[in-house]
Amino acid sequence: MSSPAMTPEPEPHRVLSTPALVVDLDLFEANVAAMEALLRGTGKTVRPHVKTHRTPELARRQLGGSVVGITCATVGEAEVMVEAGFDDVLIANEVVEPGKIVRLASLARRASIAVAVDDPEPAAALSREASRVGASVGVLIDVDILLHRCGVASAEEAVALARVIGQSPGLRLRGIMGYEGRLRLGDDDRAGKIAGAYALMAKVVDALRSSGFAVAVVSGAGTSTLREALADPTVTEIQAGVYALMEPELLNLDLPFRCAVAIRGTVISRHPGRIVLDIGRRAVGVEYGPPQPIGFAATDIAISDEHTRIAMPDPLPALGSEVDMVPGQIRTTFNLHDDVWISRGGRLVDRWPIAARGSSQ
Amino acid sequence: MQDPAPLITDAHDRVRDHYRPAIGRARDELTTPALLLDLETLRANLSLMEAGMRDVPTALRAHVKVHKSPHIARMEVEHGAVGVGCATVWEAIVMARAGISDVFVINEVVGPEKTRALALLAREADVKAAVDDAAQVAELSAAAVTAGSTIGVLIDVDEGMHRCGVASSEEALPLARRIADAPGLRFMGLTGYEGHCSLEFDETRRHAMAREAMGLLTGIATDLTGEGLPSQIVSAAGTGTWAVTSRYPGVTEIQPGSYATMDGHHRGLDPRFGWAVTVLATVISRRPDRVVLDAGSKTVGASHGVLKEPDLEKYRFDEEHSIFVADDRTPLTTGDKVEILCNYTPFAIGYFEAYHVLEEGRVVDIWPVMPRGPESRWLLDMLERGD
Repeated sequence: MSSPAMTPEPEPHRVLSTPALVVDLDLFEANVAAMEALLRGTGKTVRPHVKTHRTPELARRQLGGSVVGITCATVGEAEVMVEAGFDDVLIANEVVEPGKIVRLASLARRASIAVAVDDPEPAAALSREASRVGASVGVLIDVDILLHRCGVASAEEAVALARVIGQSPGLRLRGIMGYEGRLRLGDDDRAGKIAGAYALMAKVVDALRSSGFAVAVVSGAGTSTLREALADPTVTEIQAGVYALMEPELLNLDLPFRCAVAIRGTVISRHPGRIVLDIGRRAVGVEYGPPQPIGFAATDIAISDEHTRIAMPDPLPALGSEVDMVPGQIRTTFNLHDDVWISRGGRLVDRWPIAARGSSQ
Repeated sequence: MQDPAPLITDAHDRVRDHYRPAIGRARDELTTPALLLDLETLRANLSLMEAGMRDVPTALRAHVKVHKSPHIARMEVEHGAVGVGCATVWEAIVMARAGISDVFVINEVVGPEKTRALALLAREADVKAAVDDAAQVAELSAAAVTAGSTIGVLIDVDEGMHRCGVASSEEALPLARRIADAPGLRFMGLTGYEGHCSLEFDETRRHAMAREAMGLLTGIATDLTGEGLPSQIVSAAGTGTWAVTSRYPGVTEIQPGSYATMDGHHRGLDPRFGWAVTVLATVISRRPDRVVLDAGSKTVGASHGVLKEPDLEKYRFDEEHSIFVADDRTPLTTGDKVEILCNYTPFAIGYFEAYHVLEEGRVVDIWPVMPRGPESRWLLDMLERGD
């Protein structure tokens, strides 16, 4: 049910047609190596969040060293990734629909699967299904440490939920997870918020351990809070995803990562002081602002459904020439494309399917 | 209208097979997030536009970039549309193969693959495209000559959006002459889109802006006619301005798209059309002060949305989640289904591969979103193979 029905055409194209996503594999690999270097000696690991790109061939290149598993946001993503050969997957999200619980338990017979839980009822349903099919599903109690999304709000709730999970056949309590959300450099009381979030995780871990529960995994954080998570004694694994491709708004965090993905467009219209590209909001995610030009300066950028209008000084690029832009939000951008082009040393060398495009179910 | 070609029927079969368990189910039994299409509301929207077009001297060209559905496009033609408008050559190929003979790419088509695709398509359908530059004319002409086809060309007029388009008769005239003289091309007229008007929610002001834009567009048409280059087609308007533009003397056709599917933005401009497309979500976490749904900006789009019912205040949209403020009286519990009314439907559609088509609350069919885009160069390969 999960992998897209409309699989892209089988044969690879020799010619790029715009708008197209292009990953600079040299920069991508440098980002992955920089993450490895940051992890060295910390005793912690990163569990790359593949919702970022939904691309198995990129995810594969994020493993190695202490990095052995991946994070997904949906059962559909996990199915695509297990099909692609990944054998250690955390679904860092609540799964409650009966049909998805069936798929989750079935997946747990093929790979090591863990899932987030914040409610006893779905946990009971998952336990019944896992028992029925003879699967064992890892469980992390989801704690609302800052974001006010999913998750239990207190150590008391976590302990009560742990008791339910502990008595549920087919489920293995592995620990807890919490996500503090993206915290930008300029966020009000950034340090205080992060410290408070991790202090709540530590409190929950202590309460669980004093109640007799083993806590092997404390999973959380993202690229924006990577340094704080690495320095925190409680966190054991980091669910970062963006680091491998990067987004412009995180560049001011002084992390050793560079933007590795571009959206390539064509100049389709040209007027005094402005050009129009065939990159619109149907091709690029704009939640963090419009894409930014690479290699030239714009005085104004306006994006609509099918077009980006760029006001810029002369000389304007010629009609028909290709222009690269850095997407502001890469996750919603990847989810709009069937495949991603791969470049090395400035040359296109391959094209990989974004196999989990649209796998939101 | 011809029957749909295998390109369309195969895609339809694929998504129907893929979502087979959903067919026959009630809305609340569906896996989420899911893109819903309510057939009765769609039909009502199409009938309303059809009735409105009876009283005006213009034709309807349905813009399909909004829904990217060959099935909806065919229904629009059945409800009186003379053809479709597309944003890309890939959409035009899909719509022509859906059986629609009159396809107009209301956009500049630039680059060797896209012009070749357009020229090849023009062998099998009445294909038109917009230009605003002599270089595009030369490229299209060369492609048409190579393919042995004829492409209809309309000059794109900047009616005030300041995106693509020429802004004056002085710019339009030499371009029109070039088109008329170019082998493989036929000068068909002018096209413009007064999109800047659709950001004005005051109807009186919006209509005044639209009339000003139409004055510019039809003025250029008059000037070209005076030079011996009459426009067979003068095309304009969207859902926000169709009511005034469709009556403006000198305009021959309108090109709205959102009227069929609707969304929050366009309901603010013309509330007569109903919500035909929504996103179904499940409550995956129920906290004392909020509900968390499994549909966020990666399914609803960056413009977000509101709940159909109950009427809850939005707390936040994340990528995979949306969060609404609730209390202990809110009648929602984990596992419940709710519909999200999108503020801007096109962005949601880009994140799905299929519509769940509902009639009286049950799924009666699954329709493909096609082409998914934004780049579908494989359709050129299909044309080149002669398939």
